[in-house]
Amino acid sequence: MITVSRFVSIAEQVSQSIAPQWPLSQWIAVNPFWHYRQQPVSGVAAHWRYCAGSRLLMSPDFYWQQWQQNQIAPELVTEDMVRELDQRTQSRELLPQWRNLSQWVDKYQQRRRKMRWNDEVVLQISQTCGLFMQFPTRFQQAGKDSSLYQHWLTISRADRGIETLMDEADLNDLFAELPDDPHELISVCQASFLTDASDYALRCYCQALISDLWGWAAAMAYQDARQQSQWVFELLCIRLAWEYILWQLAERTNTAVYQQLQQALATQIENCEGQVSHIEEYNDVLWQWQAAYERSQLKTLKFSPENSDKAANETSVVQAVFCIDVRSERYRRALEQAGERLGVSTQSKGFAGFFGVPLAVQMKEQNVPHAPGLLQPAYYVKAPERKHSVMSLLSNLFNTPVSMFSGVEALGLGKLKELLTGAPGKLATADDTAVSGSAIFQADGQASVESLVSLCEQALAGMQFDSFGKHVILVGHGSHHSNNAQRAGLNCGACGGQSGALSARVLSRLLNDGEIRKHLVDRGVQIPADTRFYSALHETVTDKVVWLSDSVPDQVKCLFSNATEALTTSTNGSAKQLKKQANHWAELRPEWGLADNNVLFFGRASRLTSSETVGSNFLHDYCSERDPKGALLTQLLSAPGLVANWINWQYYCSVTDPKQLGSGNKLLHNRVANDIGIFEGNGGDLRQGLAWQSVHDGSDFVHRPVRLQVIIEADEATIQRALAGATAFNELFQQQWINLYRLNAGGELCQVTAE
Amino acid sequence: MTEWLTLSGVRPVLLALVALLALVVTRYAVTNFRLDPRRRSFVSKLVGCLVAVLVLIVSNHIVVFFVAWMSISLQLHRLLMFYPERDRAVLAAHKKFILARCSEAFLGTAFVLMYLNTGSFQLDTILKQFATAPTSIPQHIAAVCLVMAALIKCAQLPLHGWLIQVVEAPTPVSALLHAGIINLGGFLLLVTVPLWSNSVLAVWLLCLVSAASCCFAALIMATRISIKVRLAWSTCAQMGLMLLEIGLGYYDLALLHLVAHSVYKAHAFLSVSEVAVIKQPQARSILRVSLVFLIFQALVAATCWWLLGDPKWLPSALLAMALATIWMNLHQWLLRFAVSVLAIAAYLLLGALVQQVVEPQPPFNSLLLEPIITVLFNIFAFTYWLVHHTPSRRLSQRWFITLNAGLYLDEWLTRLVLWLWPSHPIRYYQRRSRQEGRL
Repeated sequence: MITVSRFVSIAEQVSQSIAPQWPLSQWIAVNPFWHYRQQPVSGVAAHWRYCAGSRLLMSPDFYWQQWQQNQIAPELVTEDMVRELDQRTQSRELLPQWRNLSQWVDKYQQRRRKMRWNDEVVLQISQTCGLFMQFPTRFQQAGKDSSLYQHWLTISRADRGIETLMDEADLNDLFAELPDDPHELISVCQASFLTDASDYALRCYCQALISDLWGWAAAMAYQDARQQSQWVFELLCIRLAWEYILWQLAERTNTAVYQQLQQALATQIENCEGQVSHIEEYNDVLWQWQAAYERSQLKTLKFSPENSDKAANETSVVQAVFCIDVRSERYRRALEQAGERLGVSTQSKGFAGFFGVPLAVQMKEQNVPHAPGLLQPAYYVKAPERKHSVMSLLSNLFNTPVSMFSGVEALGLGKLKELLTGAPGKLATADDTAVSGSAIFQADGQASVESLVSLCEQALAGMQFDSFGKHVILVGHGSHHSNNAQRAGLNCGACGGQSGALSARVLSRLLNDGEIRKHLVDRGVQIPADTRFYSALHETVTDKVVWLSDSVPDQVKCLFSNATEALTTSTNGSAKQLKKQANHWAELRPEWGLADNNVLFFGRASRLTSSETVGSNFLHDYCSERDPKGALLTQLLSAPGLVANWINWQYYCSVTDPKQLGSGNKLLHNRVANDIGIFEGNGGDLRQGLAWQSVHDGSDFVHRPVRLQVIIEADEATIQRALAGATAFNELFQQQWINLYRLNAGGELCQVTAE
Repeated sequence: MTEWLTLSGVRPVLLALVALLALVVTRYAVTNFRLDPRRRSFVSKLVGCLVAVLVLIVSNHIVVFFVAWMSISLQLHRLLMFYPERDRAVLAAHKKFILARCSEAFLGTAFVLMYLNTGSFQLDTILKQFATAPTSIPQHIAAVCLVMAALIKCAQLPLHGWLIQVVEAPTPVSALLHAGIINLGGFLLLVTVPLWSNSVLAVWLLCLVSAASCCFAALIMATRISIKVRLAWSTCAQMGLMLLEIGLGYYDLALLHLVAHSVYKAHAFLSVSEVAVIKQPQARSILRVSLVFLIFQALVAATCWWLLGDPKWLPSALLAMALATIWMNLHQWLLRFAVSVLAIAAYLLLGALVQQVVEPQPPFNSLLLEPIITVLFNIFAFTYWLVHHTPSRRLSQRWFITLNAGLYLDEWLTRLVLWLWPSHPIRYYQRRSRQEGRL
């Protein structure tokens, strides 16, 4: 028998291991297993498969199919692997899974003509969470001390609907008898039905419970991280309280079911550890196949041998810095080719899309960060104060019950034009000059010139400029479309789901500033007087470039439009079709976003020569000769490296387990609590991950389920040194959440092996 | 031709509206399902449904009318069952299926009685005969049946649950349903006015049920958390108002409401994924709001009475509510006055214009009915302000939770539907677990 405090601490650990999900307006990719990075991926996969049915591997059929289609290199496959895979595709074994009491009750009770418990429990908790987030002035008066559990108790005790619906008259007495304190609840649960549970079983149980409400747990984890509340833990307690209620209900009303429950739970508690290791054993060969599959994907990647740099000596006229996003790769190639065609020496670079400027826009109610999710913005600009616009007054008129009747009669027909034309696509270009032209602030007032100079210095150091060309263009990116709840996911992930326009504008303005340049000279950064920085925005649906700076030279404009033209004619969609996709409000797949991302390359992009893999690589420029201590590489692994891992795992999970870790069918998306998240249809849990339409084209997946393949162009010692410094990245690597390769001078990939 | 077809009364307007919706929704669905393997199946179902609506609108023969009416709901059922693996979608579709049959039973009874009384299948002939004939018992029954059919079709309380739950269907279906099909109850009543408007029982039934639905659904709407469900409750309320306006004899206003609401709701559903924030009302003194509202109401009703010879209780109350909301949201006095004066002037002008064009209807209902309903709407407005402007009061909290639960009206119906039609048979589960085993 374990103590109550042990149970509490297990519950807390499980709650804290839920990765956060950002609200829709700042929706960025997250690795749902981020907090499990210190454990081997195969173990975590087996564990979650048992507890929640989550799939982190494709089905045996998938690997078999890939093998049959020669997508997996034969030299990576042994006979044993083939035999075992064949056996698994034949047997179709049902893997064991933990069941919660609600599921057992559904199984043992005759509920054919009644609502079933598990669904209804999830729906009830989900709706309660929605109320909590949607009506903060009503339900969160105590701010961060507001208790989600208390809120749920209040609602459940007042509600008379669920006992009618489920046809259980005792339900309300049971709600009334529930302890008011979550810790006390845990102790009564432990005393009544978990007396013999081991630590291991309790952990499984907690994970199984929280996985029913994974989406809400993730949304609450985001809140918890910002205000030191314990809402995920309380959510787990709410789910546990339902189990306690069902247990008591069975005890009071149905002895037969009660006995079956007791027995099922006892067996389950006894067997769980063995079951998990059974799954791990079963999955073992599949992980081998997965690894072989991943390794085979690298075959198409071609690198040129290192040559004595000819480009290093001459400086390009046009230098363009892009985000490392996989969509930039396409454009960078096109731009360089256009440069060759037009005879303008052009160089492109890859850098994190916020250009090293951790900015936030300060609005009236909240700050909107334009920086990666793991980074706290240190600087902010003030948004212009908007007066109550006519539009907001009108929408208020339609949404307030007392005014909506006259509102609709008087103004409903006003929507006719937009109904016929559709809502046009939107692209945030931060053209509010008040925003990008205004002063930059830090926590303690306006940012000093020194701090801005250091900011510029760091950004330039990160971009590793050898020398400055005449025109340096900072190209952020954003997506031009509308009517998509997950729109932020197609914007720049490094800019917190916003477009990269603001960061590009701000940094180019700072770098053109005479005073800052003077200070930069003092710090050893010499920017030639005739070098100008410009900002632009790469629009990723149509591959057009929107100029943010004024007075861009015609030569540069011509170069970019040439690249755009080449790109749109080479892809199968015509420019007209793409424009339609960007502007049609019913379009569910305006673009494929970061689908099929699988390689992160730190090195000279020019060495990557294969053309068929364009569009699936994150390219970050890195020159190891200029980073002898590996300090920059450490930074790169800990920032873009992690962002890429989050993006990659979001796509990976949405493909391997679209039901639980993807957000379902976009046709059914239903926004919840303004921008907290989405339901699929009317209820169930809040959804996380990518929609089916974002990873599937109707006939097949457009994303290959491959763990991120990080390739570094540096020597072994530098890599090891950098790994030692980048703790989180190293953990991901050691536990096989990512693959790591070194690119040698000969253009071959050498696997870096974990210790 | 006139035996079968007619374009009298409100039909041309509705025809134009449905054609517009058909164009917009079909175009939307075609793009929505781009790359979807089931695109053809979806669009053909959608078009089938739209064709049935068009037939219904122009048909003059009661048998054709009935068949079209039934066919709409059957086609809609196929659209609602587009994802049969979704338990809740199936449950909602079954609920809708059962209620639709009830509505058809009422409509069928009404039509049979109409035929027996007049011996004609032509809707216009029947109506002509009924308008002159003295009210008889069968006519009363037919009137009540028609009203019941319309109330069920328009998802009025307490039979509203399916409308909320069918947001499980793809967005274009919701747009079609909420902007088009749901209006057919109103259409039915508008084209059969002479039939039911002489029956006091039918009129009272219609007005009281729709008024209650309108008020409660609007209150419930403001307590819901997801955008589609909010829109669905708002439809329920708006349909209530439309039926109420029909019941009170404001046919022109009802038609305007029908068209304006359709356009608004189609737009709202089709743009549902745009991330937008609905502002929560701030805590305010309800005394001030109520005072502003009462002054406006008195003012509007008085000017109406003075200039148009009729206080128009209900429209005046509704206008006053909207004006009170605008008043509280604007912060400059000049703007407040300007907007109020303009709105009232436009309202009076419109009222006068309508009086010029349309002959005033003979007052057929009891003089008491409209004032009673106006009082109900006043209570509705005060309740809203009480619940939402004073969130920390106990009473407000209790009301909020009850409203959020939908007044516990739908639970019984869900149980009944599940009992009648278990939507998750064992076989389905076996099939699914076999499939999962394979994956």
